[in-house]
Amino acid sequence: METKQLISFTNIYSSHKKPVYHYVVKMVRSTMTAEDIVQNVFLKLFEKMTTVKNFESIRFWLLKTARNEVYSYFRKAKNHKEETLEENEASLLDSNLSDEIDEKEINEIVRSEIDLLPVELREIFVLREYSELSYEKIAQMVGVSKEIVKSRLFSIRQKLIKNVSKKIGVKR
Amino acid sequence: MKCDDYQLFIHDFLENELDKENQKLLFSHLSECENCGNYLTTAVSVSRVINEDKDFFPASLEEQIFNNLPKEKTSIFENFLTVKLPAYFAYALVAIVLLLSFTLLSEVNKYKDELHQTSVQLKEQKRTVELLFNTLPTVEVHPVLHNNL
Repeated sequence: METKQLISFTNIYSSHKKPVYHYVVKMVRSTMTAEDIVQNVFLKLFEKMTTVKNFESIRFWLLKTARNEVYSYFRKAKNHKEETLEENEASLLDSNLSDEIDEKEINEIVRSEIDLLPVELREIFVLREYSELSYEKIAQMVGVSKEIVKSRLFSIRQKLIKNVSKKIGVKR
Repeated sequence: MKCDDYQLFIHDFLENELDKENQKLLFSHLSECENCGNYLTTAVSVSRVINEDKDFFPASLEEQIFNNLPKEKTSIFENFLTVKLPAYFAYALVAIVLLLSFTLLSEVNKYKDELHQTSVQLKEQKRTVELLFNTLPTVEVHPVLHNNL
């Protein structure tokens, strides 16, 4: 490996590691699987470093590659929905044990509500909120128009905030 | 305008994408509508949680990624230097090098002696030639003048 190539890779990795990781972890809802996928994505990037020309759209390329890996994982693990829902239900049950609510619990409620969103809606939400992708790029990635992305994102946010409010309200 | 429109404004505001005119409309509505006020409070909480989570990246994964990067391709010479050989191979190599050194040293000494002998012979020959030259009678040369004036 050339030093120049390694420096270039390290720069790209440092700038995009968090958006890619959070997209994957929120999609698969398993830290171990997410780590394997993220590792594969960055190793693929390293292999293609010499052919990368457009560094501006590198985040899109990384997220697109991550998306392919995520959906490939979904196809392999057909029962992923049942597994993860069980985990979420368990965490929600735990959070219901106490009547008092603090910041830590609000954080847990928000995280659980994000995880409970249907995968196709969660994807749009995560791409915008965690990966900071533009509406145009999200539209390009999921294959719908920019206007649909905007309206879906608003519906998701409204739904999420209403559900979180309801949970916090019940606790208060 | 309905509450839904103001809630859309809230998200635009949180993303710094709401112009000043609409900001005024939003704040004016928020002062009157408790429902949208609560919506803003929860939206800020959600945003705070996301921002906190966004900053996390597992250190173990970073180590894993960099450890698994393909290693540098080394040259044949570097491979030869780094290859692990058995100890007796190294001893044999040292013995061969020493043997060659002694052979070369004896050859050099042999040529040195030969050169010295040749040099002594040449000096002897030179002295003989000088002696022979000195034993020759001296020859006087007189000029003959033909123009007797």
